[in-house]
Amino acid sequence: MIRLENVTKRFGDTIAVDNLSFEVNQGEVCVLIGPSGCGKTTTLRMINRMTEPTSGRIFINGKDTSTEKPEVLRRAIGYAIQSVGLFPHLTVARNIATVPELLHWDEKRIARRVEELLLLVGLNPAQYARKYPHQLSGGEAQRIGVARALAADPSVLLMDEPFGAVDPLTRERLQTQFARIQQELKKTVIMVTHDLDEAIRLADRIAIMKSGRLVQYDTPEALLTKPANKFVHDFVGTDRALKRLSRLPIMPYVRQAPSVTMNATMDEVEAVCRHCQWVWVVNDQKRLLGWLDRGSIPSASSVSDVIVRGTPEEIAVTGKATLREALSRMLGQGLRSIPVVDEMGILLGEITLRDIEMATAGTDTAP
Amino acid sequence: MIFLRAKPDSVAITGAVIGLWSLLPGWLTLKPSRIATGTSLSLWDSFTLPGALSIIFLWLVCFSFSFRLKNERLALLTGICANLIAIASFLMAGLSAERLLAGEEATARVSLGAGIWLTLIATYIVIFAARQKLGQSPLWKNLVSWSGLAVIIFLFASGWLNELSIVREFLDREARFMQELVHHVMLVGVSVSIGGVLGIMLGIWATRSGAAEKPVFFFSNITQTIPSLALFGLLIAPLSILSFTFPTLRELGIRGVGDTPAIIALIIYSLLPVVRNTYVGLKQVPPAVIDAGRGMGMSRGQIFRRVEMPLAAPIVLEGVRTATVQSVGLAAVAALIGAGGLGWFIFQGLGQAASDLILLGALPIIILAIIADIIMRTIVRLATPKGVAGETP
Amino acid sequence: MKKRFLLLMTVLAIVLTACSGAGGGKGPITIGSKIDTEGALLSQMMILMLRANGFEVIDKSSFGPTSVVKKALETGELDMYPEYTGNGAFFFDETESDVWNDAQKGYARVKQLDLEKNNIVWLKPAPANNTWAIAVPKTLADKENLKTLDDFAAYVNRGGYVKLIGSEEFVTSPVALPRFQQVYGFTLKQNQLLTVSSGDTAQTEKAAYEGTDGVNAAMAYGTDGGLSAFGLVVLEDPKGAQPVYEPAPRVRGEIMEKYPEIAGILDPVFQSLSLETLQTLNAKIAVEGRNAADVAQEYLTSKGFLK
Repeated sequence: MIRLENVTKRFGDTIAVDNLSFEVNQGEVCVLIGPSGCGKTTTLRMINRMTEPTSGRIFINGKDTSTEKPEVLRRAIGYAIQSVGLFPHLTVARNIATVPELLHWDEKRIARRVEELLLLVGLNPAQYARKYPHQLSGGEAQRIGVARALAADPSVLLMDEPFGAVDPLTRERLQTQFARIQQELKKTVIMVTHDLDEAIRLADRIAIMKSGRLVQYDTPEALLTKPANKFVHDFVGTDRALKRLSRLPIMPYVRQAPSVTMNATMDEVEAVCRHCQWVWVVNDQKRLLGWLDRGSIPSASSVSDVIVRGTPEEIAVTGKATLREALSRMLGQGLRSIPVVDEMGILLGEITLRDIEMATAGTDTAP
Repeated sequence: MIFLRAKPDSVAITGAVIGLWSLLPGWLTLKPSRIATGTSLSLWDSFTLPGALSIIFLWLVCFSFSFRLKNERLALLTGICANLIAIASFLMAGLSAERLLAGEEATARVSLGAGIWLTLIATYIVIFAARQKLGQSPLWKNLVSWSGLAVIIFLFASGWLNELSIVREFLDREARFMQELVHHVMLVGVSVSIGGVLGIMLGIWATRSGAAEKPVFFFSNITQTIPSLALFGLLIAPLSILSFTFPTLRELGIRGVGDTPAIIALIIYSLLPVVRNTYVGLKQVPPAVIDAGRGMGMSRGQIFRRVEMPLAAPIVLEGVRTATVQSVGLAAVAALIGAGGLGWFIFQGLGQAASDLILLGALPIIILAIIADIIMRTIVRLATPKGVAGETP
Repeated sequence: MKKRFLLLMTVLAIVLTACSGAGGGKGPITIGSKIDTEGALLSQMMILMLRANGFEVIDKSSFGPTSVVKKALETGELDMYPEYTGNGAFFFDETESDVWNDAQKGYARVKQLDLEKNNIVWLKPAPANNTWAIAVPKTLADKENLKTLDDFAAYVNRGGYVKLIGSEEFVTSPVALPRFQQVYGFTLKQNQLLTVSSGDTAQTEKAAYEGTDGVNAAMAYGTDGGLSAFGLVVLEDPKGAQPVYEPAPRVRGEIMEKYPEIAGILDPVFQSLSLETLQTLNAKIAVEGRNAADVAQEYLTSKGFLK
């Protein structure tokens, strides 16, 4: 879909990008990452000809980008930057409508699209369409930047640190939102970031660059388990196993959970799982109410005597969580297993520390 | 009681103090002829005792109210009080002039003295302070701002003030005054229009081309420092030579003296504020915004028209505002090179040692400058895009 | 797009500047004057007379100072204005010559030179010598019996109190005070002089009237309007120390060639203006504050020049 062929960029005597070649398939997210000055932003900006390559060619959908007028090329590519660059004198709606207006869409179509996009990025159109950029928070502005990039429904999206200028909490939420949007829209995305965790979380493939050269171009798993050289190994960091966990959803690792209802007898509790330390307590709809320690059974006459109550938010993880979150919860609460619930709080199963260990086995071997 | 729990408004107090102080110098001057110096008359000699007492009383009221201006009701009362002082001053000045001139020769004149000018300045200050406190209610705010002025204009129009020397000067040459007033406005209008366009073009050039930046600013800065009369004079020689060599120019009205050098000089003076503000206005457009615009596929022209111009417009127009107000004042000197305008009266008055004729030229220039300022401020406000206006307090 | 706008603006500006004067009839003739009372008065007379005789006239009286008005005539911005015969000495750099001390000779000289060199015609002058003079308060004149500069010289030489206020130019120019002193035989010491920068006789006369700084004599021009208002009298100059400055219309040659009848219209008017007449008329403008045009109209009608 996007192919770079021997692309080089020289600024005077400095070589910013050195004979770069790689390909991004349709619907994939490719993240460019590397130390400062490695040429990742320059590479990104050559794709939409904000910077012209000194030599080499770039193809989008088989077409050489240098054959088209830059303005026409850019109108078919979504562009979102770190400082967002919303037009301060235009409303949110008019900002988003920028490229459609350049393409002469009619007013009705534009209005519908603006509403659609605001909903897509999780903002209420009635509230936000008429706001001005200075009235927005950082996170809201970045979301609108993305909405604006998507406005004309381009097949290619270029993003330069799009989630960079906000606090970590908002950043994480934006990443989640982006992942969800990407799942829905399946755009071809090239993103530049300096945050490896972000790259690992969002990328289908990661291109690690150093001094203008491509060092390794692989899936995140491959990068984590089989780094190509010492540089990549060091770059990826010594906590590779933990990094892997953020990519693994928990559902595949969830096992059957031992559970009883409130009116279960002690014998039933005893019987439900002979080797388990804990048993989960649920109601008739299988909603999680709490847990109990099997060691307390002898002294108890009913479940309500020994139940340790807890809401699903307090003691469980949702089925949408990653293994990393599950591990963090377990460590934080000093548990070896943790229940998994759905949005309603209905018990789905449990996951144990051992399960996580097995998932990451083999990650931390030296190259 | 009012003084306790006092939260004085310093602006209003300043105005009231000046007002009280203005009671001391002479309020009217009686002179045997328009060119003599005359004798200064104190407040009570000018307005007779009841008139003087009413002014004194009103100022004392204003003064005590200004200690407690925080209260909206009191602010309204203070504003009205100040307006009353201004109206009363003119009312009684008109009456007293008639009275004072009754026994004098036909050539005698009555002028406004330092006291009444100070009082008018003081009322302006107090009204300004009262306006601030009345921000919430536009009706009262406008009443306080304009009622006094409206009444004074009515007094003038109805002939009540006809015995005052400056009005006599006006009446003696009404037609010429109107002619020169229109001419003055024309000089300013034409030169600011051309200077504005030229300045904007130079400003854009300076932003786009690093090489152009230095010379453009150097030129505009240097020309600003040339004294106006000198510049007017310097232009006469080359323009004369030009108009002699190309007779067609003479036919068109471009000659060495008169309107042409005046307009050219005013254009040159208009350049710096406009060039500087255009430059600043364009430079302050955030680079991220321009980068985003470019990245989305806007052409250079589209970025300029849709992004840079609307964002730079308020600042650029502020520059034009400066140039306009400046030109109104500078155009006064145009009379010296045959271009007419309100300065004509100033120089006539100087030549004849008739101070009120000088004022007949100077006062309208000040008023024109204020009006031009108000108009330009409104234009700037209208040109400020909504999203940007929200940011500045 | 910007270029077109600029072109439009330039055209507009040119059109506006040229917009003074259109239409038919004889002319249009542009008449100007210097920014002084007498200049305004004389130019208004010229304007009214020509208009009454079917000319279209553009009124540019009180155009500017001498240098500007002179240049305007030479470039054609003005067609005529009232000028003083004695100024010929400065225009043609002949200040040394004493032909200017004689009314007829001076007039003939400037008329000849201006026609030769600039194709400018001088019409007949008014018999009023508006030259530099010394004026004293009437009270002083009565008390010390001062009528002429001879009397004044005698007064000074016998130790009478004098403080004369004058411009820098008046005090130092060889044709001004020094010439008086030379011809009449008196010298004013530094402490008897008050020198000011401006040549504004209204200010100097005002000072003598009010006795500011002990001043009791002022630089003046012979026909100043403020003299009577300030209670001053001009000391006569029987020995003719000063060049003669008689006002006359200075007209562009082309205009005279095209409309030679102008001479017939303006000559009688100017010849009717004596020193006293001009003083009185100037006083009406300066002291009473009346419009120069009105005063001119009144005079012309009273003398029958206008119906």
